[in-house]
Amino acid sequence: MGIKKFINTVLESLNMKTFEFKSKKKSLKTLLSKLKKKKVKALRELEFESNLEKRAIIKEELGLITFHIEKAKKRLIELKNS
Amino acid sequence: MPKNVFLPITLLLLGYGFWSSPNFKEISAGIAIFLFGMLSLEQGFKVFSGGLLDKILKNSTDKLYKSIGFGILSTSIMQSSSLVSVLTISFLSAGLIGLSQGIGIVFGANLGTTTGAWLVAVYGLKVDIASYAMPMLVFGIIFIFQKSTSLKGLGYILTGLGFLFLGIHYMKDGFEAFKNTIDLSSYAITGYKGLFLFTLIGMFATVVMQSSHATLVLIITALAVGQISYENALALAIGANVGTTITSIIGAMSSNIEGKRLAAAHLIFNITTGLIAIVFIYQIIILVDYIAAYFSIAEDDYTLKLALFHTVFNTIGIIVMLPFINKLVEFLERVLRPQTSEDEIGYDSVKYLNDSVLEFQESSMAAIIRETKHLYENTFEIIAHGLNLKRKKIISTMELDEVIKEHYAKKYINIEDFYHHKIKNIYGDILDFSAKAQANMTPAYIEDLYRIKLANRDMVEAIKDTKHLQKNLVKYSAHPNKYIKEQYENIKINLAALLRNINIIATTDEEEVIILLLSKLRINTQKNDIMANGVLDSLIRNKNITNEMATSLMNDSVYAYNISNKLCNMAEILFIDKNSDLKKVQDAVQITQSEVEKILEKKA
Repeated sequence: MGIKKFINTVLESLNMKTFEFKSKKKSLKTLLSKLKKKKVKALRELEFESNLEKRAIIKEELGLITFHIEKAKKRLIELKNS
Repeated sequence: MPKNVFLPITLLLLGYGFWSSPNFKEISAGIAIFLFGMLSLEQGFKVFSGGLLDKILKNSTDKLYKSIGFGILSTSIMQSSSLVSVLTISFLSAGLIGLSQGIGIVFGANLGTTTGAWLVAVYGLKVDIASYAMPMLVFGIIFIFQKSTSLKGLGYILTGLGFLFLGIHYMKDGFEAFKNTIDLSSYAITGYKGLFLFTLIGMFATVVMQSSHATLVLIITALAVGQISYENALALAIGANVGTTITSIIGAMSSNIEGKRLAAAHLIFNITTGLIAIVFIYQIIILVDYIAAYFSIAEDDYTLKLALFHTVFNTIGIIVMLPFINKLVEFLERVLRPQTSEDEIGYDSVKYLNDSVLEFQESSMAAIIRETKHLYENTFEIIAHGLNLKRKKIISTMELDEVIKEHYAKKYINIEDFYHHKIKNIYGDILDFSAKAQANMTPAYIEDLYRIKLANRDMVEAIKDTKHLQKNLVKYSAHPNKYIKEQYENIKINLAALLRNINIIATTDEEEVIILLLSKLRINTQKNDIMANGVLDSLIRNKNITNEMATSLMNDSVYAYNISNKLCNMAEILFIDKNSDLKKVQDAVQITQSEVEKILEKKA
């Protein structure tokens, strides 16, 4: 048995092959929670902002945050299903 | 001249020694085999240092006590303070650890190296280690012939240990047989005179053999058969401790100023420790006797007592020096300064690349990334000044239409000149260094390195695009036609916004900020493309600008678009930390070109 095959067998028997997957999921969850916090903060700012120009900037930012939240969620579901 | 004479004289003396005394030949062969074993052991550990060792070093030296602990542990396991010193110099030169952490590791390595004396005194002399050496050598050689790098590494370690054991065996045998012909102990010298003389001999022996470990084994084996007195053996051990700094001084010669400072710290530490040991030798002997009695070490077991003495005086050295580490760092930084020659004024050069970091992939990668960030700082400066904007104003919170009103200079700078002074040499050196570093890298690291090289290329091309853009920027920024003037001012504002955002990405740790800003930059790059957004068509249709102006604007908008795109690419590679969560999911969350277009379509 070659050394690579041996390592793979050991990793599989110890159920360590999914480790990288889990780590990616964890990282994605962390980023998602940070983005959600950022969204809450931006919504609060929007609530108290009366300047139209600044409101447009915040709205633009909110759109981008929502886009990334959706994207991260979608990827997370894909990872869970695989 | 002395160098040329030294080698033939040494060879002649050795030849005469071998001819006149077979026992001397056996001892010398023992030393040679032992040293060869150390080389093999180092080679083996270097195979594993390609990842694990450098990662441990990077993560376990953030506090001084951890650095000392790392030094003790790694040297105890690898039995080579030289390898630990070289690794430390390499990390220090790459800027991965600070000088005080480096000093901590060296202090720890000094204590860790004393375990070698314990191993030989406890195990080497009381067990027939040669019988272990043979199977180790056989298994080791079989492993060395394997294709797998890990097995090769293991093979070198086993062979190294085998040769170490065999070397000790020959030294022991040689000294035992030697005793029957000449009794070296009759040359023992007592008192301070003997202390100084044997300290010098210990130093000399270590400088010649380039290994305090080998000197110590020689001392212990000679002491075990009674060829030298206990008191003289202690002096030899002190000398060996001072002599070992030569290895790190040689190692530091090819390194940068940080490596040289570390070697100086090592020298200061070992000389101080040696002086303390010489001045208080009789008190330390009493302390060693007291500890030996506590641990039930026989009163006449001088080899174990020598190992204990070695540990005790190195521990005392660390305790004495520990409170002065910060002072030592300050002193070294004051005394050893980087050299700047008159010719180099105005020409920027590499800060982090030097050959001492090449051996370990983690440190060479870190050095290349740092140097690329250095290149980014210069790129930022050239692009900002090329647009005749002040760097400080760009990174401030000032409104961008105000920023573009504050000019950097009365006349636009010569970008070509700046490029030659601040980019060309560094860029060339990064490419040259990368090619050399690649030889010691795994495929995964080579792939990362390729991306870093792309980031470097993107920056250089962005500068060249700025140079092309600058010509018309000079011409139209003060043009009486308000339409063309406005367009060029917009280009300036957009590029200033780009530089401002990239600066935020470069300086923040908040991953969500980085990913959002990178997406924003991509969207803005596309949005500001006046060819795509219809502004250019509108200006031509309404005859607001002449044909000549339209051609210039069209070309320059391409340059501006390219600058934005290239700097975005660079930021995506350079400012997402290799070990961060964001790096792991970058591909999954990063905005794509089609997504940028969709977002802009929705807005339209």
